Amino acid sequence: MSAFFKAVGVKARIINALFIHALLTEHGKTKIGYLTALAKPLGQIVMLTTMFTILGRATPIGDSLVLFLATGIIAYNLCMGLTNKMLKMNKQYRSILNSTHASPFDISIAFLLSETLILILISMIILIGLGNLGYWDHKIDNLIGILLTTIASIALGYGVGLFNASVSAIIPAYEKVWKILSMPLFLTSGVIFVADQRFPPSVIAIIKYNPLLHIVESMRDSFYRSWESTLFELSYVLWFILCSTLAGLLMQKITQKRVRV
Amino acid sequence: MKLEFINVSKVNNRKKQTYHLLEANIDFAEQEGVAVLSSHERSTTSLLKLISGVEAPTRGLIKREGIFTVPIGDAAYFHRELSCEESIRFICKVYGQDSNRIIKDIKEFASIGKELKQKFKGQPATLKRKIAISTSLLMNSDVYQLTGVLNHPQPKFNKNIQNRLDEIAKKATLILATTSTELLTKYAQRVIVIDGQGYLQQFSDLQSGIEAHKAQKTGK
Repeated sequence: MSAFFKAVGVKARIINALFIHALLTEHGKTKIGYLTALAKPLGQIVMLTTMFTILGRATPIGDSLVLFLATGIIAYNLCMGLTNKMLKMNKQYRSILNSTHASPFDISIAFLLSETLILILISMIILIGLGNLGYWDHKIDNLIGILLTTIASIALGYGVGLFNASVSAIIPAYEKVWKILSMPLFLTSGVIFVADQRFPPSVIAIIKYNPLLHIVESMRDSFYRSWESTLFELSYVLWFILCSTLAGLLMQKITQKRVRV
Repeated sequence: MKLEFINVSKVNNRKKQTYHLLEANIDFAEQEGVAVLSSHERSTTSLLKLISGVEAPTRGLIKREGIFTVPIGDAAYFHRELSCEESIRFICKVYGQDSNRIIKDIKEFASIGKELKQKFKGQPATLKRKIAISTSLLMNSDVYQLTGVLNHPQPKFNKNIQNRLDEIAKKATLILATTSTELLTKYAQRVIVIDGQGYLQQFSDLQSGIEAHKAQKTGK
């Protein structure tokens, strides 16, 4: 048993080292690295708000267009931000994988921790900032709902990210394929619309297979007192997270040797 | 320290059934210098990775107890965008070493100071090598791996390397994957020669091992 705890201790030490390394290298390599991480979602909110205003589109829920877009973008980025960062992790850490005890799994956990920390901090800064600017009243009806959606979004991002990282280790062109796939995923995720107000049931029947739509709907469901999602299915999201994580772990096992070459 | 290979095989190509290492049985002792010679570089690399635990064997068992750190002079873990000190702290954390002690010792050992605070990418090649050699030599380990030669343009630094290697040879196991006759003569007591099929031959005297390796290279 003591050998087991010793092994867990060694793993924790390696993950801790990789976590600090990821924090320093992913955003900390330039002086404004963390600011650019914050600027990206802020830019998305500003750009989409400007576009919606020019097109004369009102917010589908609540009174604030900025809050409507922010809740969608934050939920989407919590998942996709992590997934996209994990896509290149095996390539970036190949030299470390080749010369130390660190395994691809350790690196994935370090990425999960470092990106989650950054993404949650950025989300909090944006939401608190919007509250102080008067876009919402700081009264969150369903704090547990927001927390659970955040956890679900990150878990989904990790599962898909794990799978993507392993596939891209075997097929380098997969990175480009994923970039192309990301666009329809964004467009059908409900960040810029409320699906059941916008589309007929035949279209909804297709786009509801996108787990990001459920995540975005769940986030808005928790934020808005006056609105309730008709599409969100917790069981579908949980099954998707479970399947993608298991598929990711299996792919990681299969490609473990390949990522070190 | 315990390091024992029991019927260890490491496959190279499953379809062609070629091996880097085939049914290897090796027992490494403390305070011993072991030379690893092969005309197939990938077999040597594979054995070193199995020793340090970076890779797992395809078949067989490796009993390993103790501290195993990076090969001497390895700079792969130095990130070009991080300062040298940050990369040293990272590798120390991975191997559970006292980073403050090692950084202090590196400054003295390699006669460097403020360069450690600068980014790795901007450093001259000789300084990068100096830092990488110092870090791996000054980490506490039960098994040290030496690949290639450790020559550096600065004679004072070369002298420090020699002294440190002498200290290491007295207290730890030294694996020498080098063809430098000078290093082999000084530190190796045993020779392992790996042939093209992955089979090992072990020689208890240096000269027989070197000759077997030479014969393997010339195909005799």
